[in-house]
Amino acid sequence: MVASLIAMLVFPMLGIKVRKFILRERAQSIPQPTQLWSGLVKHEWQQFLEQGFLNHMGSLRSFLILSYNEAKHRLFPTRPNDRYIWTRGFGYYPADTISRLNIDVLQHDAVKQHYQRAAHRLRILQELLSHHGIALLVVSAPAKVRLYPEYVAPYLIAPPDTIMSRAISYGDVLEEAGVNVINVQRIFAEKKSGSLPFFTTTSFHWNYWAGCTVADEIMRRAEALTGRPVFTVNCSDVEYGKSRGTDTDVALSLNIFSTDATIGEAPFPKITPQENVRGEIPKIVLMGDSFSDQIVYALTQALPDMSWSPGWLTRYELFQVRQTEGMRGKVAAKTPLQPGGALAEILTKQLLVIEVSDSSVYRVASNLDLMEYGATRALLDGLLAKTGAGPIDPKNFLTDGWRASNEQWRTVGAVASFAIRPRTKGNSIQLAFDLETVPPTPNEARPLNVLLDGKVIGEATISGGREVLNLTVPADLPWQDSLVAEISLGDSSGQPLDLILHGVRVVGADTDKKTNEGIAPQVLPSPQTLDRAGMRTINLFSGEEPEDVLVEGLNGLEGNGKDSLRWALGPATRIKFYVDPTWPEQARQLLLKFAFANGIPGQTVIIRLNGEDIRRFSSEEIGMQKVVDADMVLHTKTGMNVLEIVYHDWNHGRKTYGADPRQLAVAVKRLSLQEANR
Amino acid sequence: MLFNSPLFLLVFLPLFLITYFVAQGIRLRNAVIVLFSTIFFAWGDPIFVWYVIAGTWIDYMIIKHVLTKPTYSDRVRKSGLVVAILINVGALLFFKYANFFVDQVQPLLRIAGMERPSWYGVVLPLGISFIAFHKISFVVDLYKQRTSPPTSFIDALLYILFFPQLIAGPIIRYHEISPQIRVRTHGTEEFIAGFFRFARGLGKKTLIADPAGGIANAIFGLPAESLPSHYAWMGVLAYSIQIYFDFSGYSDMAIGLGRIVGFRFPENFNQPYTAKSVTEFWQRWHITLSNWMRLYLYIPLGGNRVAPWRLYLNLWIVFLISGFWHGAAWTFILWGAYYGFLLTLEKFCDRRGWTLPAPAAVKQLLTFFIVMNAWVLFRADSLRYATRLWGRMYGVLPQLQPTTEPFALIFPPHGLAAIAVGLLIALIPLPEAARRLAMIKDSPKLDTIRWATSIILFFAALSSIMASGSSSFLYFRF
Repeated sequence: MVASLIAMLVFPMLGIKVRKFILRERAQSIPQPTQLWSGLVKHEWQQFLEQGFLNHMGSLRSFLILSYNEAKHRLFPTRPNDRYIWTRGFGYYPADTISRLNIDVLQHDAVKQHYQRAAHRLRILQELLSHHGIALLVVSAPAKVRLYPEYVAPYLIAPPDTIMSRAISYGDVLEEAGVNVINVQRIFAEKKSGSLPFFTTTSFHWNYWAGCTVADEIMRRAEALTGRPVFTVNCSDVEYGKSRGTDTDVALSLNIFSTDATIGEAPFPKITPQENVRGEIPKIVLMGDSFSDQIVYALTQALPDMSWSPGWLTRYELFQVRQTEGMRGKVAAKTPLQPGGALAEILTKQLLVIEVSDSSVYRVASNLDLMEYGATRALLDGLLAKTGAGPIDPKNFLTDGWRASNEQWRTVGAVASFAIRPRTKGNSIQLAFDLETVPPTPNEARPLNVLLDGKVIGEATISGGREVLNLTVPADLPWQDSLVAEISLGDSSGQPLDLILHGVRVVGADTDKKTNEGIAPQVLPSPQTLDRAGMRTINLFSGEEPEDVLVEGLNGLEGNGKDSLRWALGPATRIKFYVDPTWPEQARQLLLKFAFANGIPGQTVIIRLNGEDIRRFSSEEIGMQKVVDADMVLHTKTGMNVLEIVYHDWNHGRKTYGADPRQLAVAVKRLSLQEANR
Repeated sequence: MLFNSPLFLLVFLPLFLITYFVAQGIRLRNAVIVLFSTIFFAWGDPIFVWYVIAGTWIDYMIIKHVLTKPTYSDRVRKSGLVVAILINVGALLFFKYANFFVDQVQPLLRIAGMERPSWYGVVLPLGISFIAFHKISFVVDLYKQRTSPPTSFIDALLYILFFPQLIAGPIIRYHEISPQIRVRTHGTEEFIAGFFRFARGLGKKTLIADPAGGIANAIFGLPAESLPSHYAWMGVLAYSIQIYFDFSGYSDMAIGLGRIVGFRFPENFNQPYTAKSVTEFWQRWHITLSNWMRLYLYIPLGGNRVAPWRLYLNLWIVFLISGFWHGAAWTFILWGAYYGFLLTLEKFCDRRGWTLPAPAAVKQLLTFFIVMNAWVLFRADSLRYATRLWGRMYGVLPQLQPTTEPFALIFPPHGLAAIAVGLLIALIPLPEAARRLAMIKDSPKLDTIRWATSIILFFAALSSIMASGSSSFLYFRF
């Protein structure tokens, strides 16, 4: 008995692994401490070894966890763990989203004030970005409980039918503040009856179909905001079946034996690439959390192949990780995001989409800088004009009430605003505006109100004609935000201002070093640093398919080393690749290296680039089983190119040549594209 | 290292047991215990372990060369004892109470234009309160010649460092254990009985204390003024269950581990929530602390053989010190004073023959009610929080802001079930037969049942640990 007890205790040290017991968990690996003694004192070694042992335990640990969770799931189905609540009507709800909804009801006013400050920053960012030709669009993603509160009534602080009208909504506040926002909560709430469900019974996120409709809405708004042509995302073809992918994320995270039994049905969109778009679609940066996964899926599936270009969709995950989207959703390598570099990149795009889900919205006022993943603060910090003496770029200064035309900034309406960094020390800011009153307003003196964040704080007088208006902004103003303040000039009689701004500068040399300390280094858009100045070699035998190439009609790699091959499938192999317009002329000449062997009598092969035949291999030239090896130079066009290799015949084509079900045409032994002049 | 951590359960413990039973002879086995105990302690506190070893060596030297020297006069021996006690109490005062004292005199320091002393922010070493009490017992028992001195420094270290009781007791007086250090029996029955006890403690901790603690932590994490009255009561009830099953679970594990290797530790709990008076509660709760306090504090103060007023004062002082021993905070001092007052009151009534004319069940519930109220002080982070919580419990303080957590959200069924099961176990006195089965009488016939129960409990607890993680024992912070 004692021996068996010891054996039982020793067994886990063997680390036996059984495939059947799999855990889905995000275990953070603990790095091995570098120093012995200080590592021990700081408990780094202890944590490292304890973690190492858990990893070593193998399937015993998985089995124990699965058993415990299964027992708890059966005994207490409504609360299988601390994170989720289960309802008979609509499956699992994250408990933290319910708590947040309750907070938004009970602390309505305080949270609203906090959201208003966040919205204020976002609107200023929107204005400044617009001066650089970039549209900002915020997507506010609701939690499941905000759309379907009726199933979790016992967990709510107010009745489900009234709770949403009593809860403050981030999306609503942004809308009221004039931020371009897709208020998904409101949109979905309006479509809730008679529609497909937006969430599944086992998902934390909105489902793929809901994500698809949001993606479509983004493209519609993108067209209006950027003025560029866009493609639509068709979500109407829906397959209703067992949930899959991230639609089952809660079920998987329960880590129970009976995962499959918990998964219900959900709508899944069958998205096909849309018709080609005439003109260049806007380049997008999509910043967001895991709710963006479904948006990215829909966008990349719907994107017409010929509209793809490198960097058309760049994703900033939580403003921490950068990733570019390849063709048909292929993911480029993820790299850490440098906030300074982010602004430089955003300034080369046309649309910045910030998706913010409920769990990423902070309720505590002290976390204002963390709102929108800290991006709003970082981007404003980079864009806002410095407060040191000298001229100011109006693009980084003017906000509401201005219109740029012919390199001049003219007011529109009765109020025109500008954004400054509040002073943190005693010095005031002295601004000199070079203004000119223009018709129809007569050239005569008139008083203007000076407003801080919408509240009148003083008066100024302009005499008419062209003049320099000196404005002193004292340091002791009641700043509501330490990052940015908006000061406005308004006609006291409510008449249009009718002013042209020829220039503006900070006068005096008392640079406020402390205020400028937080300012990011001046960053300028440099697309050259972001994209290569030529094509990299595309070797379809390297085992990796680059994300910027789409290959159709070519089977996977078989064999290895010298004898490896890829079967080309009839009727044609198509390779779509992109040639950047910024590349030099010589970089656009590519060398195609192509070698193949044929087993079909009378086979011919035609190489076609962008619909034009550039080489034809006759049946005599090809022969039977002979390896044809040819290099040829391709003169590509800028943008998307289509290289086709067209076959005369293939298995199950004109004839059946073998039992293999595949439409085998030729055996490709080599296929690569590289710069001809490299 | 926690008793409920996978590394302890599945690596440290098996390695220790294999090494221990492979070693032959009591001296070698004692050395194995010391070696593993040192590793165990160093794992949690790699710096303070050296202090403990050095401190034990000083105690050992004082014992060997002063306290047990028959040639020395009583005065010299007494001086040696005073020095040893001063060293140990001094260390306890410094490590545990220095920050507290500085905090109290902080306003005066500010007035005098003085800064906080540079050593402010002393880190509380692991298990210092228990270690200090063991070390005091060590020197006093040998000064009083209650038992014979250790034959070697290893034996002395074994008493202080023995890992099952090192951090949170039971507080074993040296004279209780010193014979077992020299001679003890090992056997399958002892092993199984010990393992059964250990598994039972592990189950108490992970299957009842931790889920109940989840509710207690959630309630005590909310502003007291936002709590509806029934939330406040439920929070205190949850904590009452948590602390009992946490601490008694730890004691069970310690006693079980000791028994596996042949030691018989004194019991630390005896169904305290079945007590029918506060006095009885303290005879059933943390029994080894009460015994220690009685032997080393209450009796030296005069015990029962003093005038009534002095007896009451002594009782009160003992509990005041007991409260302060638990933690350097006013809440603990008040907690001790609260019990001191109630015990004095009971003693006063008892001496006059006044008894409460009520059925035993009512007395038990009344006692439980008194104990629950005391736990508010024990759990609250500040006196302000404790008073506000009491205010909400009794409806004296209005609910100033609504709670953000509806009942269903903050009281998960898992936690409620743990509280219900815990209450049943804690409040219903066990019949004698069940008590025998559970803990007292060993019988070979019960071995199979015990073994099977142990395995089930062990793996149920291990599953819970793997799924939820290991949580620290509440008494580790004292």
